[in-house]
Amino acid sequence: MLNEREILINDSCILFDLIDLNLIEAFFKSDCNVYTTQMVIAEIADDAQLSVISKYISSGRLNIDSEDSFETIQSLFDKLPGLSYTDCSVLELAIRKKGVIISSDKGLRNESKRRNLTARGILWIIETLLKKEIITTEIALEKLKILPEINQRAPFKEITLLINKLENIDKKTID
Amino acid sequence: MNLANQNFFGTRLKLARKMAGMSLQDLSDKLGNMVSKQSINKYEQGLMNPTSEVLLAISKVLNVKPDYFLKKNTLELKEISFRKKSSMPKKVEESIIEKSRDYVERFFEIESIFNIKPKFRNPLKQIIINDKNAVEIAANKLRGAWELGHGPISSIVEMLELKGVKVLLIDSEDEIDGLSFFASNENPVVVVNRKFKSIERIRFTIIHELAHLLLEFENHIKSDPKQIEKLCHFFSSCFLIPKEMLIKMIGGNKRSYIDIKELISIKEYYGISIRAIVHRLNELDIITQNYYQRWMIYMSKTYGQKDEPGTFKGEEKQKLFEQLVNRALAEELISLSKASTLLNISINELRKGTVCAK
Repeated sequence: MLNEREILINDSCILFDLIDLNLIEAFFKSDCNVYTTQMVIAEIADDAQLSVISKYISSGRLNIDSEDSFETIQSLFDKLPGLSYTDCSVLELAIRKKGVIISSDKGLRNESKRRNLTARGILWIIETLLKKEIITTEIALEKLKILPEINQRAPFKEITLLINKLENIDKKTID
Repeated sequence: MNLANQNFFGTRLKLARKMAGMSLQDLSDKLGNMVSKQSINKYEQGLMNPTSEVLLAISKVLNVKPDYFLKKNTLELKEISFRKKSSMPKKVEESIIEKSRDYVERFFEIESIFNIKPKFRNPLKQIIINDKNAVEIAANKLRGAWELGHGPISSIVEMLELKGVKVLLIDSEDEIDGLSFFASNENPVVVVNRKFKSIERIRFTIIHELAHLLLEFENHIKSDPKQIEKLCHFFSSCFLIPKEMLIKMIGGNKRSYIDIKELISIKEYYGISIRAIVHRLNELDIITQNYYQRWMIYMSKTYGQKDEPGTFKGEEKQKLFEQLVNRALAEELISLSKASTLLNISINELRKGTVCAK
């Protein structure tokens, strides 16, 4: 469950998923403490997406960290050949702020877990927004159904399981 | 071998600047008021490290990902050999070399993720080239060693990639045909400019560049660059269409008249230009020098200096590097951001391209 005191560190993949699913506003409604790095923002090459994100940066809902340690990022980068410099900047921030990594990239999530950092993905966000009643079950189901179309790397099996779970809850509520 | 381990950021910055063809002043100007020429010089000398903000700004201006600057090992390139107009500015030459180095470094990086250690063995090492006969023997030997038979090669790039030769096709407006070099650990690399070139010309140039790397010339030839060029050209012809096959297709050892349709048919089957075929027929004494010259005049008058009828229906495109990155991504060995860095494309573009099997 989303804890307001928890620091969430977003990577660019999760920001792209939230924008494409039209869930970005709902995500930032949850009053959580969200951070990202300058490197992540630099990965957003599309002007329209950048303009959406800029809105949350200006309003202070998305914090851009600028206290990074070049040496720590470099040291992570040297040890982790499967990760990019940007991924390492996210890891460095999560370690420094003792935050939770929010990413839809399995490679980064796996590495975070290996380093005993908590890592969560888009399905966790959808479930959390639903539990906090920021979105309805109907909306959650609609977003889950289009997720594999907007992100072809999304975990299809887990999405199907969550859809089944939500549909069953919904059915039981109606019964 | 590493060029510089101590001041890797400075070394990389200098290389990236050369890749972009920029002077210290050019870079400083492009960065606006953010970083002075003196500060850039200090970064290059290893006297100062940039902040993340400056690193990002430099990456953007020089059109490389930040990861480029953090690689501790810079690949050494040996025996760099260029085919270009002598008037080509040094700045352009350096830029092409750095682009090639960057590509090969990224290729090696993805290979190391799979623990692939490329080892190339030159099958022609024992042959000393002293004349055209030796070139013909070498071309046949290479086809034999690589088990290619005598038939046409559908994709030269794909075939070479499988044999451990890295091929980079570039699109340069500059007057350059190609270059070749050995990367660390004796890995041969061929770079060919495909801009405004027919597929037959691209295929021919790739093998020409390969010849520069594989052929060992006798001492008296080594000092004669023009002769080396001619022999590498000849190697390309011999390799693309073996003598026996050309004689078989043209129907004999002597011909006094050849129809253009015959040549189009050979061109489309073997992927070698009509001009190169006619030149080879003359070299093999199948046609006379006089008839060869008449052919060249006919081609120029009818089709212009470069154009020709008929087209080889194949494709020349480097694929192995992209395949390895996509495989590493699918097997979750690398992150999406890492893949976008390796492929030098945006993360969003990549995000929409891989289907998760799970």
